Amino acid sequence: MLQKARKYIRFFLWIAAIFTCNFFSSCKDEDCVSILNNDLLVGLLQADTLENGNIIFEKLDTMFFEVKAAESDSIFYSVDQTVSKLALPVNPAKDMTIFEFYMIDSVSTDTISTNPINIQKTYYKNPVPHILSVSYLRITRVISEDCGIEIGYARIKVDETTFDSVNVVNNRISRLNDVNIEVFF
Amino acid sequence: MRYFFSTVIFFCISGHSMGQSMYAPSALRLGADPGTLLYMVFSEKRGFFETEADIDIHRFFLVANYGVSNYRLDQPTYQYENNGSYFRFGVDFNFMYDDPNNNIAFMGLRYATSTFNDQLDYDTEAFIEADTGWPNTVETMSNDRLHARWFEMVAGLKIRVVKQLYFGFTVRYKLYLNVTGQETLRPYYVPGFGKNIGSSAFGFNYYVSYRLPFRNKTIYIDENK
Repeated sequence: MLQKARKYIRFFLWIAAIFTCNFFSSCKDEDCVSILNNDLLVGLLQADTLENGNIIFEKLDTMFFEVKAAESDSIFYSVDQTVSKLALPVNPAKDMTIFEFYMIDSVSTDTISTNPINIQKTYYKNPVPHILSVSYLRITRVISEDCGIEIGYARIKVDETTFDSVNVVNNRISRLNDVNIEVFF
Repeated sequence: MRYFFSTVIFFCISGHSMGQSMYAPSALRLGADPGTLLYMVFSEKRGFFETEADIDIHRFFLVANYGVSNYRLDQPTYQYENNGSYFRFGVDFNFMYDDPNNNIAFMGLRYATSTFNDQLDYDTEAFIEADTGWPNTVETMSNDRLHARWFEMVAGLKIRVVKQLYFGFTVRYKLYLNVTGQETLRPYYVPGFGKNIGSSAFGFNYYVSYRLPFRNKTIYIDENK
């Protein structure tokens, strides 16, 4: 009888040991940190030919009249910003977004003022925008009950563009990325 | 499941043909997890029903579980629902095979599979930054007939309470979870496994079982010990 009791006790200790070891190794904190957002990063590049004939691509500071998306009423970039990289929010409710890049067609300067600070410039919009149509796969997950959900955007493709050349360099949107799509002028 | 029952039938038939061989099964034990009732009363999120069957072969038990499960999260910005079933089978080693009351203390291994559907409905408002102008909509992502599989290391006890009625528990360490078939929605919950937040998890089940003996069990005692 005593031997049997010992056997039980030994076994319970065994189970307690397994329980303790595995409890600490398998319990995971569910933190709310997400590296995902919906900003597609577009880099603007220009080819430059060196003296030795090699071609390099350099960042191109560009001023757009406005940059917007076809189904959004917001303007993401306007004429007061010069950029070489754009963060363009893709539509979280659709598997594709069409971005419209309106270039500056011409600029007129108010030459009446003698003070250079007060010189007024008027920008005129090119009515035909450059188009960048991107499609992607939305991947959703519940982070935890309290943290809520997150949407990831993967398999980014350029379906249509009017730019001379584009290149998808990273097909997944993440806060850790540098650029998703390179646009060459 | 088909292979498990084929194996059980094989051992039953071969056990009879072997007469009172030490490898002839002596009883089938059928049980269920009463935790179902607790979850029905106390949990709005989770519901499940799990059954267990085991059959002895000398110091070993062939064990199978079948369960159905549902899991639901209702939050202001999203709702997640998961429904499915799972099946586990494996072998336990009984440390108390010579116990006259047929109590068992065991350790064993399981292979488990699960088939389930899940769906996430969410409001895109939570993902729209103020100045992006995207319209707010309710989106639905779902998976149909996903499959998952994993392995388990288990240990536990089953103690006779009265006549052929046994109470017991099983501690599970579940590992190497693999889910296939997912595309746009990563499942948050896998029936039988739990939350899909890593490839391993810890589990616990109570069981109430009834033992159906085929024959009187002969206990072989090594007199040299």
